[in-house]
Amino acid sequence: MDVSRVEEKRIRGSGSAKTTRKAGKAKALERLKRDKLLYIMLIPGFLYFLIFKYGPMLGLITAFQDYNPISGWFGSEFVGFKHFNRFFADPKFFQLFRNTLILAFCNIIFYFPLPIILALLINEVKNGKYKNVIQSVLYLPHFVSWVVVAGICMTMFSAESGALTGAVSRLFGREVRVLSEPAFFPALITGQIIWKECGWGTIIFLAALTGVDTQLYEAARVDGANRWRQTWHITLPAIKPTIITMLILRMGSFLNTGFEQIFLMLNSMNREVGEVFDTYVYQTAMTNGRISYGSAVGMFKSVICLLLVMFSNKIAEKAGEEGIY
Amino acid sequence: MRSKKVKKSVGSRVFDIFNILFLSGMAFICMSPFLYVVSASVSPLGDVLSRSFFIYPKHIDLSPYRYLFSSNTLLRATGNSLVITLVGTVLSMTVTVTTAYVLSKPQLLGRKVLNGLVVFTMLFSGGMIPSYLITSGLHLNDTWWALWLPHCVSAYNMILIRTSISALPPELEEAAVMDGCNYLQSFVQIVLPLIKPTLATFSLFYAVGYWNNYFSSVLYINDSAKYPIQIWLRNIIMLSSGGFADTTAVSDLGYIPPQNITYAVIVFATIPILCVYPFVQRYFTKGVMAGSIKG
Repeated sequence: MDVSRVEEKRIRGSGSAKTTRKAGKAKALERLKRDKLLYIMLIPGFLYFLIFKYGPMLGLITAFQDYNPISGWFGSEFVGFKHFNRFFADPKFFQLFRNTLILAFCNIIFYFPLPIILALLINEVKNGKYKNVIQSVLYLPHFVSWVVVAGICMTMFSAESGALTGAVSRLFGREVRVLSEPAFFPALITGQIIWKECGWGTIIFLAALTGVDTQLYEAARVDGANRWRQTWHITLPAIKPTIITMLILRMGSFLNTGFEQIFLMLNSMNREVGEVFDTYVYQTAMTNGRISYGSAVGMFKSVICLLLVMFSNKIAEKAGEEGIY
Repeated sequence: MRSKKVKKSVGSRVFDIFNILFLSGMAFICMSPFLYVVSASVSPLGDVLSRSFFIYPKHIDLSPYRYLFSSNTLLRATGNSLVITLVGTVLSMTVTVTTAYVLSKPQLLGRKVLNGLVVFTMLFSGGMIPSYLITSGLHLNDTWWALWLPHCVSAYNMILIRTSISALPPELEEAAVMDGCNYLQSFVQIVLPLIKPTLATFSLFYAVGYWNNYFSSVLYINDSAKYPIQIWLRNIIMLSSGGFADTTAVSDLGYIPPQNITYAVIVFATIPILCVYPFVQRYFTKGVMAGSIKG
């Protein structure tokens, strides 16, 4: 994203800032005419973003209406913040918030650092062939569907015949039901994420590391720096911007607990700790038909996410780092 | 100085050994669930229930697979998923790459605003319910268009492809324009062949996304004749673990499937990805990395 910003600066700098507005207009028209084909090529993508990305944003007025499928957006009655007020007063609100926060913190603390560490370790492997094999294997789980991950998990930990049920029970010294005991839910979800995404998460850091000048390492070796100090003083600073970008994006999706994953792991026994904003939206709107209430809950989450990403971006910029936009 | 370069310190060597052992361990942890599932799927039911093996099977019993291939609902779901994946990938790639090409052009009027509008969709979204209302308002329910259109373009993929197009030397296209090529021609004849690794990588991403998609079908597809494989798989898993499931989807099974059949289905649903993955995987470095270094 840095490059596009630099490019834009360049274009702005070389652009016709000093030409009069009239000439600018004529020029713009001329450019429009010349690049007509470009704009025609843009139509499918433009329509997609307009209808399926910005359309739903406009559709958020549902949250301020008593939406009725027969009268639609234009005929439904406006009720202001009624649904929001009801949601904030609902004890469910606190429960969802707590569940979401627990899962989000588990993600940041237990998952987020792992791809960075793994990338640093992979980077230290000098044998190219071995490195390739390791990477191929570690990337693979990312391409498996959540249905399959949930399926493997459910069979591995199933009470009757799970391959790991016995081992876990022995570990805790009692009969443990991993799939239904609420206490295990965050560990189960975080563990799945680590298994599925940890290897794949390294790719962006490894990409950043390919850009490091090897002369730096040579110079450091000449100065007598050992590998640990090389990592600390060269490799880590090289991927610091990437780490910060990923952290900001992670903050932005702090409340976006992987919906499909949790949806697949929820059951009647763990719903109390497993229900998060996303699954609750689905539950209320699609199952119970409270469409407006559901979209109010969804909108609350989206707005908080946007605020979080803006906030962490500000902090990053204050700390002298480049933000993401 | 020279000796330092040639000789590695003992600590450094010990680290190398531990590092390789550790990474091999990680790789093993990554693979072991797959290995277990594959061996469980070819084991007799008795072995699966008594947990008498872990990584490799003790006895071979291929009856789960024989059974799978005799299921018409599974074959139909597989066919559906293949069509959904192929059409969806072509559609997504066409729109994404064309849009990326246009937005990479510095001479495009309003380029900055348009790119900003794309980035904004990554930070804020209308959410599930308004998206659902739009899609069903367009009468896409119970058609595969509901799986294709709402997720046609991923903003993230588009930006990465745009960056790799921007990284091409502009002289190449300028030469083509001199020869009388218009934008469309130079896009198809000059740009596309140059970003083949990127195209391969992102085609795989989209294809995997369509093949693996589960929730869109839950939302939009009610007709069991149109179910994709992930729905079928989920129903089997739920049935065999004693949970609730939509039995119309797997109606021809007739009874609760034993566990080794569940494993066979999991293998079956993952195989297409494993078939394509090794061929595209070598492009990842070029495809994703070329984009992300500059992104």
